[in-house]
Amino acid sequence: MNDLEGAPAFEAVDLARSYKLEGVSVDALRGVSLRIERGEFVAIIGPSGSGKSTLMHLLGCLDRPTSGTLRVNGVDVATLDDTGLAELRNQAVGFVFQSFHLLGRTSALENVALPLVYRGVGKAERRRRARRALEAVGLAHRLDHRPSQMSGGEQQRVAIARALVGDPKVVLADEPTGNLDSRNGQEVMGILADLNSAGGVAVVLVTHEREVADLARRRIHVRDGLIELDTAHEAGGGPHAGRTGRDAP
Amino acid sequence: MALEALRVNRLRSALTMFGVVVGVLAVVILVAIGTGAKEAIEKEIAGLGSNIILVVPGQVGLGAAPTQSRLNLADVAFVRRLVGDPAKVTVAVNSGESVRVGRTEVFATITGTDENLPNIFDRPLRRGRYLSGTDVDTRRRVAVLGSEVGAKLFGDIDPIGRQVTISGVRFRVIGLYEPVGATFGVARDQEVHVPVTTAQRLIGLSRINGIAVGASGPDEIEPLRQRVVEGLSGRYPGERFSAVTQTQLLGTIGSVLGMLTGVLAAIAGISLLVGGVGVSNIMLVSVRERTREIGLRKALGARQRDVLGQFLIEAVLLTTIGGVIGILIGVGGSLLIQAVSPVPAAITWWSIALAFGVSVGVGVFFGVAPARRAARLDPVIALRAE
Repeated sequence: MNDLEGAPAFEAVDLARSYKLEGVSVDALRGVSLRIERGEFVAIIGPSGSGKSTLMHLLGCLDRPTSGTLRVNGVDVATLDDTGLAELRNQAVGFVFQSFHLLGRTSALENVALPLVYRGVGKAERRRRARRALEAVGLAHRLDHRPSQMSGGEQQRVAIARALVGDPKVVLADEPTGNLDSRNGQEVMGILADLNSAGGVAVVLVTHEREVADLARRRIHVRDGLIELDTAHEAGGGPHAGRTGRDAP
Repeated sequence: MALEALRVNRLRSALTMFGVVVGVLAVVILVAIGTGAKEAIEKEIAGLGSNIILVVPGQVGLGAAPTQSRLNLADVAFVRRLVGDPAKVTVAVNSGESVRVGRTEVFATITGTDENLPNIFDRPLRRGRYLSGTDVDTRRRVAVLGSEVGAKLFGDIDPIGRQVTISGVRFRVIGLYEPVGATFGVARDQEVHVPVTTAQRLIGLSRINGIAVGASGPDEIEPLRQRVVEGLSGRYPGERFSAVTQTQLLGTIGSVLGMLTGVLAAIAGISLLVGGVGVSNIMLVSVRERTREIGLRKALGARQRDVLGQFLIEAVLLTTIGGVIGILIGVGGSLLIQAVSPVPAAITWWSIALAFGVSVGVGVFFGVAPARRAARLDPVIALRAE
């Protein structure tokens, strides 16, 4: 992986993504440009259907833009094939999902170790690193528990440990508190904040909850597929707000 | 990981495997029976003796009607001269007659032959002696009993020197054969051998049924066969003579039985195919059910080939476990069939290897489509699946 030292975690230029839904083209993102440096704590907020999830999927390399350029750690994703994208996901990004997405029949330890399987790490080393990640989120006593034996808050902490186990530059969290009560939600946000301040990991958070977003140092408001407000610029509208007619390179 | 996935749905995995188990089981058992039958018949033919040429009048073939014989003892003398070694030529004239000792009566095949029979056929004696040249020349009323005839008439008593009555004529028993079993439905243990000259008089015939020639080696069989057939045809212009060798018999029967085994294996193969379709079906269901899991794995960095491998291994594991169970039951079943029924069953390593190979192959073949579907899922869509 051509990981360029010092390159921003994400650099997007005119990012657009449209879907075909039963023959009708829907523009989910209509030209988004942004730059997220390493170590930042960013919240992407917006109403449902605003395109924030699509942006999240693009940043996480789960999806490819229809047009525009995206560089992750300085690597242009357009130059990568599916295998390259999978490797980038594995190395550069850690995911936290609203509905946790843990494997139900597997212990917390094995869930956390899963990303390392795809990195070819040996079993003993996987377990050692997974244990360390679980200890970091305060679940040292839950290693062999299955998701069904844990509370929602604990499950999300397992998911955070899984996002961390591969030492990514960025953690992408998609509504991480959406399925949690406020106490557990606060706890999870606390962990993410610690991760960012103490571990230097960039955290990019997608949410529609104002209180959650307020914990982030920078907020990007998305509406109708465009960036409406980016607090990094403290000005109305992003630098590249507005539709562009450019096609994918 | 794959084993874990199969364990999650025990019943479903078991039912899916069942199709493969039955298919493999059928292949192993049917091939074992086919091979067993072939081996049994080959053993019978080989049990006759080695390098034998049977000369009979007319044409021999499957379905050909037996021809009235014109051969007589003078022709035997002719063949002896032709072959060069008189000791390697013997003769047979057969008739079904009743054989009696006191009140005990059995029906037996009376075969008139001569002193050269043991030079050509494998007929070990248990007691007494074979027919001698003098027995034939002086038309003695002496008999060598097949093991079954001896047992029926005399039980455990030593029959040597005792009298038997063959269709009203008294014979003295001079020998008793070891059991040799049957060849082509001819129960050789139910034969009674008497001098050919005595038999002709008893039956009232001057003909003989056939001549047997023993070749000195496998390479001698074919030239000898041709010489005998040509010689006899020259003696009886316009008539046909056949000389059948064991190699020909083995070849014909072997190919028929080989074909039969092939057909049986093909039928069994169809059930294996059906089992494979079942595996494919279940894997497709499994992929659909685990769409979210697949999405998650891809989000965590699983490449297409990782997901493909995962599902392919699951399918192959399913069919391989099924195959091994099928082989075990099949081998057990074959042994059972052999032990409790007259059907011969021979387990061959190649049928087991084939069954195992095919079950692994079925897993790969029928697992590829579902596994590819899984590997190609769009992670965004897969993660959203219910």
